[in-house]
Amino acid sequence: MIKRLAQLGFLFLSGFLLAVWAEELMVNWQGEHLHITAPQLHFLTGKPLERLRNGATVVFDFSLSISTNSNLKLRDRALERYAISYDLWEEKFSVKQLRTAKKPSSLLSGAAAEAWCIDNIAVGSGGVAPSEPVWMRLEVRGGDGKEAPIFGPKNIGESGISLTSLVEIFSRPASPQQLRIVAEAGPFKLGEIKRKGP
Amino acid sequence: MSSGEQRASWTAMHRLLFLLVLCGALLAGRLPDWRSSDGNQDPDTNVNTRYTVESIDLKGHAAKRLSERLQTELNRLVGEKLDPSRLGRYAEMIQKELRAKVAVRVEKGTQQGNVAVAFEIDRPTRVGLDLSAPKLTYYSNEGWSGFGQATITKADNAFKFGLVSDGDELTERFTGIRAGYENKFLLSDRVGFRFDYSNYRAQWNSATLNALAAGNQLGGPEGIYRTRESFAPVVTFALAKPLSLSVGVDFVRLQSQYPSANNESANAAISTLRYSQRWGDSDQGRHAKANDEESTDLTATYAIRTAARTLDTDLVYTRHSFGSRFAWTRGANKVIAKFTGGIINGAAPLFERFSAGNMQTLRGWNKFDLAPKGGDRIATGTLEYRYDIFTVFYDTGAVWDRGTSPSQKHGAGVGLHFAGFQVAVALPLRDGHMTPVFLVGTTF
Repeated sequence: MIKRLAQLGFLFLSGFLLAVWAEELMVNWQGEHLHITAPQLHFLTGKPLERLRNGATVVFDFSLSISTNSNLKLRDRALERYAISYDLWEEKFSVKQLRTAKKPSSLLSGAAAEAWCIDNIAVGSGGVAPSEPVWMRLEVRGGDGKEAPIFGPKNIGESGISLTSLVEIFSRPASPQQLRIVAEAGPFKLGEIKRKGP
Repeated sequence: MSSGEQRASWTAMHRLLFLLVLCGALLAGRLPDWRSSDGNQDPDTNVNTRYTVESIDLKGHAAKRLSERLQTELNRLVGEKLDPSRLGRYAEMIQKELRAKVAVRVEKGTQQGNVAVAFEIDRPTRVGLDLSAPKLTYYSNEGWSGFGQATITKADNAFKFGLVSDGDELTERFTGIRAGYENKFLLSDRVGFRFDYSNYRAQWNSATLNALAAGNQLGGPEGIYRTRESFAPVVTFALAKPLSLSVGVDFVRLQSQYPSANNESANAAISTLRYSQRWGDSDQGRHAKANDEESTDLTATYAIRTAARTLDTDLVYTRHSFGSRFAWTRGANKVIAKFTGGIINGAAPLFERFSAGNMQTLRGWNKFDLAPKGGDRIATGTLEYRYDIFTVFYDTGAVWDRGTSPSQKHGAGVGLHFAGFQVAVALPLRDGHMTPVFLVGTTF
């Protein structure tokens, strides 16, 4: 009986925490794409931060998806990989988006580096009607320093890591040593989302 | 050619082989290091790669046991730009050598633009246990052969214990135990010590018994034996990076079978000169396949065993053997060329005699058809091409006795080869009938 109550309590707590996270993911339109902000989401902490302060490159994989039908039907998904390093002398972070040839963004504070990663991932509407309820989900993985095989030439093309490799990463469970953060928002309607910029 | 002339030509030949090994070793010191640096030096992914390594510090009790070679390589990093992936590889090498956990710390240096690197080495792992099967083969002419071994390691010491049943290597099937102790750090990393003990019971093929009986050699010191016991202390010196020399004594006691149970000794001074070098990708294999990288491996060994009266031996002989292996790899393509040669002078016991027609040499042939009691001369060669897991090979060679003419044999085959494990069908190339031989197994 006590065990059952404990399980129910755990489930309630998990649901509550998930709801709190969901509130933290804010969505906005930028042109034809949906962008997010998540000021409470921090991944430059713990072991990954320790490795960064030790001069290493730490890689994080991001997945942003939009779903309908009570979060069951995936309508569109964006995947990105970022290589982050910490300048030992400047004491600032540098972020490189590996799927593009863009120059890295340097001299960022920890919070700014996290925000930069989140700002640079966007997903399309996936053909969802403005009045249809949708859910959005952001998943962050990595920081364990075991990305080396993914960096093989088969996975990195002219423009960085291949999309196939990222799909493969997110289709397998995270290893126990790997950082995994999930944040969700929804249900909401695309027609109600405010537009940012022109 | 008279036997005296033959002896002179063979003596000249093995001197030449010895000189070739020596010249190769000396030449290697002058060869350029083709090993490419595949480290991640991309400044886009790590801003710290623009900084210069100011110092390399080794911390921890075990640090003083690090080999001179590795210490020298680490010191070479000073003055170079920081390469985190290269530091990671060195940490792995230290971990492997000292069997201890290693952490790398990078901090700001004393001058602007410099960084200080520290390798923090933990205490060595207390006791390690490793179970392995260095040999497990099936050759349809001989049946199964296997060698299973347990190794217990503590710091630089390794204790080994194994069970063997081998019908592949020699004309006898030997079954028994093998045990040993090894220390790779005897006062210095350039000197190692080991002793090996083995105790085998020998089983003989009827072809061997018939051949010995025909020559009236069944009994006596050169005849068959029931058991074979060996104790061999050996010291190994790392002369230069690719060259090592092992020196020791092998005390062998044979319990002969005819005319009655009697103990014979075949005590020999042993000496092995080994040259092993690799050029190209250091982590060959998986990465070489993926990256289409090129690597070249060369291994050459010369061994001499001299049983002299001074060692209180019943059998007096000298056995020279030479082996070389050249492998060139590019991506999934691999070409391997191997050569073995050997000469025995004097009255050697049967386990010292050369045999071919097994998993390594003249595959496809039955060793009891080639030389049922072995030979005191051998010369074999192999040319093999592998593409990914597919392999095709050609073997040639001969085993013969002094005073007789060698009869060169040829064999060829196809098969699969992956992670040291091979499955193949080999054919002896000869006039008349052709009997394919199936072979499977792993030999390290």
